[in-house]
Amino acid sequence: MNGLIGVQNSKANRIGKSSLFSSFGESAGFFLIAVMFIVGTLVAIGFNLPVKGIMANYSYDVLVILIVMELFTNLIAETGIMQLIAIKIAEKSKGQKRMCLMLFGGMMFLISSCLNNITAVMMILPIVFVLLKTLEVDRKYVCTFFAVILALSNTGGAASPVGDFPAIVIMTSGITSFLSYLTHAFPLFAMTSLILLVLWGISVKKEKDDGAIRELAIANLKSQYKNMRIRYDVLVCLGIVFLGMFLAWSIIPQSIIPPEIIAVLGYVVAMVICSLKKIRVHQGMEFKSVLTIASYLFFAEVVSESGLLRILAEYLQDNISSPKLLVMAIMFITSIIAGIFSAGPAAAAMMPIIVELCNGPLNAQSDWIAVAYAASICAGSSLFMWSATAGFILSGKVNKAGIVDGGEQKITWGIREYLKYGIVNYVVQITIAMVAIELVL
Amino acid sequence: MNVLRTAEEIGLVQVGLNVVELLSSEELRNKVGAVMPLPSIKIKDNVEKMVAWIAELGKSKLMFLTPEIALFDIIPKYIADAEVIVLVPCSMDDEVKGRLAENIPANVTVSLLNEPYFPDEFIPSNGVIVACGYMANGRLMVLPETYRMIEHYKDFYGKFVFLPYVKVDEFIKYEEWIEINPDKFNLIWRDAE
Repeated sequence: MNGLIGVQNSKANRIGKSSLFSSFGESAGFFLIAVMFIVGTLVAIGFNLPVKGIMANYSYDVLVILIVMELFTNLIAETGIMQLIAIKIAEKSKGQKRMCLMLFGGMMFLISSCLNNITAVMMILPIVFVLLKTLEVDRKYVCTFFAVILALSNTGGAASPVGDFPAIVIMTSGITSFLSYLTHAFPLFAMTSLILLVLWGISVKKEKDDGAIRELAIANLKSQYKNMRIRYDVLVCLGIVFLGMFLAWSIIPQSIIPPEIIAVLGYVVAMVICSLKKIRVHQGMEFKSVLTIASYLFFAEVVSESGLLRILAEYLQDNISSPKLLVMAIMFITSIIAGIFSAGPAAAAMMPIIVELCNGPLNAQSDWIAVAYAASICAGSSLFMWSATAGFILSGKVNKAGIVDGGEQKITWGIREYLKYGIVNYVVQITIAMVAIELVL
Repeated sequence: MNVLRTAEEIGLVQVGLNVVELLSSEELRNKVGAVMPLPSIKIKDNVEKMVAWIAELGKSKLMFLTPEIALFDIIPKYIADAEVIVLVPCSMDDEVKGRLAENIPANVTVSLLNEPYFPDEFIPSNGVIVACGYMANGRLMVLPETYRMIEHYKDFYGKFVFLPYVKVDEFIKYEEWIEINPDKFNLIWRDAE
């Protein structure tokens, strides 16, 4: 019986290795990694900086947290909880497009604030695609929907110190504590997300039908997942472990147990629990994103060691006397760098300047400076498709999903389609961040 | 919304059950009724009758050509040692296949079998092949994948049965549906309404 498919293999079938990136994104990504490492090494040699010395200060801790959090997300995904939440949201929305957009956006924010952005997006996408195909959406709605998902995966990632790469860099830099960052950043990014949701939600027209077709779509969706099993027993254990990690990050000083060690300890406990509970301990991950961030960190470390950023920081401080204006100028520069070169390089490149500022005139406000920095990276990350961590991956998945509009035309969602939504996302986010900084500094 | 594509994933009976709850909507009747015959309100009662009828055949291995998940839940009630085999069309998308594999009821042994393979130890004495579709004025209609699989597995010497989710008096040919010769089947469930 060669063709028999084991039910156990189902997840492997569902999350195939096949083309997470579009071919363009993949080539550009590999090219970028190579350029960062090669140019970084050449700059180091050019400035006569010993590479061994540079690597002594390299942020391995950031990479460790990033990898561990992705692996932890894999364990949570195996419990099936993401699918359950997505179906409940679809049911709650009653198939109303506006409600779908707002509820899935809200879910994306919350998940991204705790777990890895890319994995979070991957988990909800299959259900989102089934829903969108059954709801008969048009091109405009698809563009709006995924623009919201992309923007809110960024705001979610910035809302907590373990949500995304820039936030992890901030946490490990020592300019703020886990708890301070969380209490300052979460409300700001939650508010930003809410404003984005309302703004985009209003742009979606209300349906004028009797709702029966939408109800059927939801009923069919529920039938498609009706026998899905949720491992609540494992989920509770993982929840306790994650809570423990959160508490440890908040309470234990970094000098006693560094955050990356807390992450590793949490993961190994979770891994053993899953193994004992007969849950697949899936240790596969998108290693390309780790390599990309490793290259950013290397390049940023080289530039930092060269002293160029210190000169830039001093130049800005000498020429902009008002601390508030100085922060805003840095926010603007950071957001543009994040927009053009994506969040990773921006976070790695600008961090030394931020540290300089926090050790200098703005020492008392370092918690807010950290948030301002995260907010500007977050805004920049929402500007272009390539700026966001999950941008190309999401685009590739949407284009492969085969969502069609009323005229049976396949809907594509790429750089061009996202541009105008990205500009709005950027303007809204950077404006809110600047207004917040104006008020608190 | 493409109801027929959904039917390939959850079965015609389950789609019928979902549709029947919303038959009061004219919009829905027009939309769904344009691609398939609307189910009768009695489909809810018929689900048990269908399984009971299959059980009367006295076979333990049931090979379905469409994933009739609405029936799978009830099968253990009538056939204690039932083994359900769901044929997966070779044209089915991997993602749909994955979803289907996860949507198997826990209370019954179900395995998925890729077309064109044949299950082991599936013989006339223990196995039956079940195809679903609709009956219109005595004529049998199936979806293209089902038609292809009926042709592929026609050499099975055991029981080959047809289970219509609805029976309509007038012959209506819907787009995509293909008429199949009743001689292909040993038995046809005729109690559908």
